[in-house]
Amino acid sequence: MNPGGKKGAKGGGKDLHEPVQACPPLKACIIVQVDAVNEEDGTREGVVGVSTQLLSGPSRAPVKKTTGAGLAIYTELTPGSYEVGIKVEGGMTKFYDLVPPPAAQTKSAGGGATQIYEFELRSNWIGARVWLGAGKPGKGTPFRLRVKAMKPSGELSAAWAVQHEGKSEEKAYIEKYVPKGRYELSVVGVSEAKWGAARIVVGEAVELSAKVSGVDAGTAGTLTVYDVRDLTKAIDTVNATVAAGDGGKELKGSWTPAKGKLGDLQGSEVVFEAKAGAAKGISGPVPVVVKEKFEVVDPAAKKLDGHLSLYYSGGAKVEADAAGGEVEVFAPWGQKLARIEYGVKPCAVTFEEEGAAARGFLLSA
Amino acid sequence: MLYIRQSQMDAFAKAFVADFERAAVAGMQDQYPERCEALGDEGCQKLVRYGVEKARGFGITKEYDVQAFVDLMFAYSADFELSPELGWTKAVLDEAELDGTTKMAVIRRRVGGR
Repeated sequence: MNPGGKKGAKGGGKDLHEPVQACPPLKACIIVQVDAVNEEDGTREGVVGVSTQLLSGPSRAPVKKTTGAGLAIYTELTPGSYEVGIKVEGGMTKFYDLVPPPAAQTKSAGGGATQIYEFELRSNWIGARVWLGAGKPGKGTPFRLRVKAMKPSGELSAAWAVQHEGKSEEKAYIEKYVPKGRYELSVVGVSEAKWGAARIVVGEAVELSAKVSGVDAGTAGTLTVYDVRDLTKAIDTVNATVAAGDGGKELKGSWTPAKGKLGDLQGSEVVFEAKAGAAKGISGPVPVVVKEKFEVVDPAAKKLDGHLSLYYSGGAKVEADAAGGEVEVFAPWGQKLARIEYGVKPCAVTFEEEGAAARGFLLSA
Repeated sequence: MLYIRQSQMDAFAKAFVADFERAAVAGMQDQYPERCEALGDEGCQKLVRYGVEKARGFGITKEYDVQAFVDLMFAYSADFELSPELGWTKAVLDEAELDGTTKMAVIRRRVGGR
C-alpha cells in the first residue's frame, strides 16, 4: 500500500482539468513545511505557530508563523536563491526539539514554481500499560498520568498537572506530542480500607481509614457504611478529605454508629466503601456490638460472681464474668439472647435494653 | 488550417478523464482488492469518479496528484480529510495559496511516514 503516492515524489502527468496556478509566472513562491515527527510510530503532523523567515534572497518578507496546516507561505517573490530558517521558541520548546541539522536551508525558487522547504521537529510521546501480574493486562483499571512540565529554561515546574485520566485497555495507552518533563503514572485506587477497631460498639466513635493512590491531597471523598448483607443501602456516610501523610495519601474519618441508623441492619456486620475521585475500595467486615449490663442474683437477691456463657439467636457466643452481681457484655447487634450457661444455680439474670422492658432468665438448679 | 471546436475539445477532455478513471479503477482493484470487492465494480468506479471531482474541487488536477488523492480515499476513507487520522489534511487541502501539486506534495510527505 502506498497511500498518497511515493514519499517526496512530485506531481506529474497531464492535467485532467484546467489547472489552478497558485504562483504567478515569473514569480517565486516558497512553502515552509514544518512537520513534527513522532518517533513512536513515525507519523508526521504539521506544527502550528513555528516562526519561519527568509534569511537571505532577492526579496524580503516579514517573519511568518506556520498556519494550521503546518505551513508558512511566501508568494510574489523575486526568483532566486533563498535561505529559509525556522525558530522553535517560547512555549513550543516545551513540546518539540528541532531535528538537526539544519535550522536553515538554501534552495532556488522561481519560474512560477513553488519551492518547498521541509523542516522536522522531534516530538515527545509517552506510553502506559497496566499489568495485573503474570502477564495479565489490567483492562479497565483506572490510572492517572501527571506531569511536571519542563519550562523553556529547562527547569521542571513545581506543581504536577494531570496529563491524562482514564482506564487501561489491553493495548498500551499512547499519547503523542506531549510536553517534555517528568511523568508519574499512578493506578487510581483504594487499598487497606480498614476499621480502627476489631469490633464496633454502638454509640462509640470508630476510625475508618484507607490508602488512596492516583488522587490529589485535598480531594473530597466519602466513607460509606453498608450492611455486609446488603451493599445497596447505605447505613451512614462520613465525608472526608484525602490527606498526604508519611505513608502516602489517606482518606480518614470517624463514625459513631447510632442505634437509629442501625435499625435495618440484617446481619451483625458492616463494611465501608472509601471513595475519592475515581478511586474506590471496600473494607473487610467488622461485627457491630452493643454494650449491655446484666444483674446476676440468686433467689434471695444475693449478688453473685462467676463466669457466664451467653448464646445469641444468630449463633454468637459471648463469654463474660460477673462481679458483685453485675456483668457487662458486648452483645451482637440485632441478635436476641437465647441461652445462658452459669455455674451457680439456681439464679436469675435480668437485663435491660434501652427503650424496652427488662428481660430476665431464671436458671433453676 | 486545422480548427478544433470547443465541443471537440470538451469531448477530448471527457475521453481523457474517462481513460484516467478506467486506469485508476484497475489500479485500485489491484492495490485494494478487498475494498474493491466490497464496493463492487460499479461502486469502485463511482468512488474513483467521486475522487476525481473532489480532487478538482481542491485544485488538484494533475494525473499523478489525482491518482494519489484517490489512493488516499481507498486506503483510508472517501472523506479521509474529515477522518480523525487524516483530519489534518483538510487544512492543507483548503489552503488557497497552494496549488494542487504542492498540496499533494505536502500530504504525500506526511502520509509517507505512516
